[in-house]
Amino acid sequence: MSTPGQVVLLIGSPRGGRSTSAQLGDVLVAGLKKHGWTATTHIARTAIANPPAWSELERATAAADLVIVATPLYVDSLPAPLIETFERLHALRHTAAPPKAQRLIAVVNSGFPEAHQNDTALAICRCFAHRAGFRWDGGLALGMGGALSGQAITERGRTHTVAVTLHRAADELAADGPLSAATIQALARPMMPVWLYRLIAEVSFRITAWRHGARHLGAQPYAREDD
Amino acid sequence: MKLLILDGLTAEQATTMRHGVWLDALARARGWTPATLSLRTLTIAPCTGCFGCWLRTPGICVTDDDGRAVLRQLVQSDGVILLTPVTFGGYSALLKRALDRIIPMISPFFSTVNGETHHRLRYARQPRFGALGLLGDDDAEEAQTFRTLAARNALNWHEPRPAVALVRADADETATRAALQAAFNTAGWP
Ligand SMILES: Cc1cc2nc3c(=O)[nH]c(=O)nc-3n(C[C@H](O)[C@H](O)[C@H](O)COP(=O)(O)O)c2cc1C
Repeated sequence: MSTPGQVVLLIGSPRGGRSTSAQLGDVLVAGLKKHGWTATTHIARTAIANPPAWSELERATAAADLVIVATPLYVDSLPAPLIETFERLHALRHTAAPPKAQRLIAVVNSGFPEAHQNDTALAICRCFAHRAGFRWDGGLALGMGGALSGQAITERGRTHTVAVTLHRAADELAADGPLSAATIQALARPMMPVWLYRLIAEVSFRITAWRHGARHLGAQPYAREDD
Repeated sequence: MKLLILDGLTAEQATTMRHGVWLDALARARGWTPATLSLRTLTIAPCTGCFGCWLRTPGICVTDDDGRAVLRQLVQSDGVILLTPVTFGGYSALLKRALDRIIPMISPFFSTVNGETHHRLRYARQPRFGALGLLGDDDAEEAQTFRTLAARNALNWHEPRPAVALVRADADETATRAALQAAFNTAGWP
């Protein structure tokens, strides 16, 4: 058993603590804490806009044994504030190499049901890890992120596999290992049939829009005059 | 044919990287009417992930800043080229801030493309999609990731033949023009 370390949870979602990303990250961190790890959580959007929050992120990252990036998929990639965070961290680490070996993993969740749609975003995280001097310990992809929105991840019901898999991931990380292929595959498994997810999502879009008083979801406010 | 160039270079990068100027000239010579938006000069807040642009004010982002003008100009163009330093295999933060704000261009409702879930389009006519990535060095993993990202974006854009070019950031005008000509030709663009 390796000695407990310090983990930095970096949340890429602009929705911060309310996001699916934060929920996934929190379960991983809870799993590491069981092994005696200490943790700090940082929100990319806050850090880039707020110098004290940035200093905290910078300090915590320099001291971390492991960084967990938890983020949604935005336009097949990472949300802009997370890219800016990567750019800034890379610039810092370029001039001053980290004092110890450090590891980085990422967990990316998408609105689309197919987990593999997150692969490019994970590749970007891997490229960042390589450039910024972290050991890349693997990436977790989860489709159907909308199904977890506002929903606690517990070992009961639909979230059972997600909870169990994230705990296994935390065990692997605490043992200083990379994420195993079995863990990565387990998280990528759909929580429900694709057709059902799409149906639920579209119905909930309509209900939310109705509540907001939006009646014409297909509006074309910027249409060209010649259309 | 209006071509929108979304320039995601910082002011510092723009002093040495003249690729946007060469792209403009090449597009003009091929019959396009190019317009460049230098994103560094605009005020664009990051997307908050609220989905108001789908479910509150359909088609319009709830944040009222230059992000709206970028979207309007994009929707009214015939083509777009993303100009960006390749950043960890993806787009620069500056470019991505504008891109995260263009999702009101698509519909919340789903369609199936290549057996995968994507969104339906909001507008009848979608601008053609392309990208010019500027590589800092010869990192093969980043080059491959950039090409994959542009291809994934093209799928979501319902763009069957994106015009994607990758050159070194220190490439000269001749090399850049050659890469762009090849990309435009492969995509079947004017
Ligand atoms: C600007 C924007 C872009 C998005 N792009 C994608 C995308 O390309 N593919 C996808 O599957 N989901 C996309 N989504 C959906 C989010 O990934 C999804 O809602 C996710 O569950 C949000 O997670 P969070 O709560 O951690 O922010 C996008 C959402 C937003 C707001």
